[in-house]
Amino acid sequence: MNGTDTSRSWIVARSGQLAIVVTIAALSVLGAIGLWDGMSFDVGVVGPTWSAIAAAVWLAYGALLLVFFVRPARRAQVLGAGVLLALAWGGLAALDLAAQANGAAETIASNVSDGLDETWTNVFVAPAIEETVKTLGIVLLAFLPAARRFGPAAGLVFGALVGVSFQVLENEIYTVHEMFKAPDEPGLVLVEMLFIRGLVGVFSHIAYSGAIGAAIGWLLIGPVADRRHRLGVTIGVFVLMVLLHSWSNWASHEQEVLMYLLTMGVGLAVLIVTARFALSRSPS
Amino acid sequence: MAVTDRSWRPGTRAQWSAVVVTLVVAAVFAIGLPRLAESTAPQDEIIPAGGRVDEGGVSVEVPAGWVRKAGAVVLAIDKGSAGLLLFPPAGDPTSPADAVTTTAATFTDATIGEVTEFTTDSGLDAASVTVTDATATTVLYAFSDGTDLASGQLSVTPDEWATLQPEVETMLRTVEFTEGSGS
Repeated sequence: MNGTDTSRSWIVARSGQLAIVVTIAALSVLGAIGLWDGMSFDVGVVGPTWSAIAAAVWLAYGALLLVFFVRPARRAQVLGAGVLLALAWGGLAALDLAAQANGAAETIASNVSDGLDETWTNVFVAPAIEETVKTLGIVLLAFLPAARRFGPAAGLVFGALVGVSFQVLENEIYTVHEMFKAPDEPGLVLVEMLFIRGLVGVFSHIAYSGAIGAAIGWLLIGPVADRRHRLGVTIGVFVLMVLLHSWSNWASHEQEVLMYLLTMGVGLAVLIVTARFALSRSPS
Repeated sequence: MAVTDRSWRPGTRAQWSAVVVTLVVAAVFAIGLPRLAESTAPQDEIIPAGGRVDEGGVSVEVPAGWVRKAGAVVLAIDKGSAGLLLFPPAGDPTSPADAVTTTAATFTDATIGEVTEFTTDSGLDAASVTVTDATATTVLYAFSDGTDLASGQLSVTPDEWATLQPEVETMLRTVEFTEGSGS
């Protein structure tokens, strides 16, 4: 991280840093337990073979997506430990926290009003919850020497890492659940899910969190005197990504195919603009 | 444009503040909201229900809202008789849902009976199932932990059913159950 002693290798030297690392690790372990608890029944029915095949496919898919972030990662000199923490946060801690909060919100909505069904939570609640928990991880990483040069490029990379791992694990859970519902056709289910969630829905969490991460990096390296303005812009980016997420969820839930594709196009545009911005604002 | 500001030096206090904020948000999402959800749940979780047997087979329908209210549902069908079990939401230590889940998961390789219809609505509020020509004992189920629903079908051989049956019958004695009546 810029401004810290970057001549050292990854060393947790201060109690604050240690607290952050322990927090990320502990919530990730709890997240792993919670997620496994939620999907173990599906895995038991589907069987270990197809569950593992789906996991391998989605992990390869995630690795492929991350190739596009090698250049900004090199620019920011992102450290390996930071990468691991970001992946753990997105795929385990953030996903589990979001799953619990989303489920609770849906139950509350259902219990307090007959008119508030899952569409309401999918469109209006889940995006805010998911972007919040993912952003928490990016902020935690910003408080660590997770990159030798923390700025928009590092923020973009950490955001993308958090988003990709969230996306990959979420896709795995959905895929195994769909296999569970169609136990005779696991291969077909995997292909369908790869098309729907992997191809058509590719520019979702990776774009939302990437943009938010870059904005956080831009906020933190800017002049202190200008920070209020930058904070406003960063909050604005967060709100915009929540709204884009909501729009995408609405289009997906209502099966508005063209509209959903449009949201993915917007997600791609967000990612391209963010990457160009991050690279231009980060020292080479 | 290299605009790196050397002023960004998060101190230990700032780092601890970030940790505290994270833990507070995590506690709200993982503990506070679920507890709030529990507190808003209707009190009449155990609802009598039934199945229907006709020439077309056995069918059980769970009316809209019941799955969500019940928290956990097991549909058990065995050649001409149908039972529907509704349990309190998961998390209740008295709930046998976990035991059923574990038991049912062990029958994944069994012979498949012919299930002609098993659907849930998009809101996962309702479930319905129709079985015709059940050549093996068929257990159909819909579980919910109060926040999500897993549903599907498992078929078991008579030998396997012999293992499962006492457990189901134990549960039948503990909840309201009607057999073969209109749903």
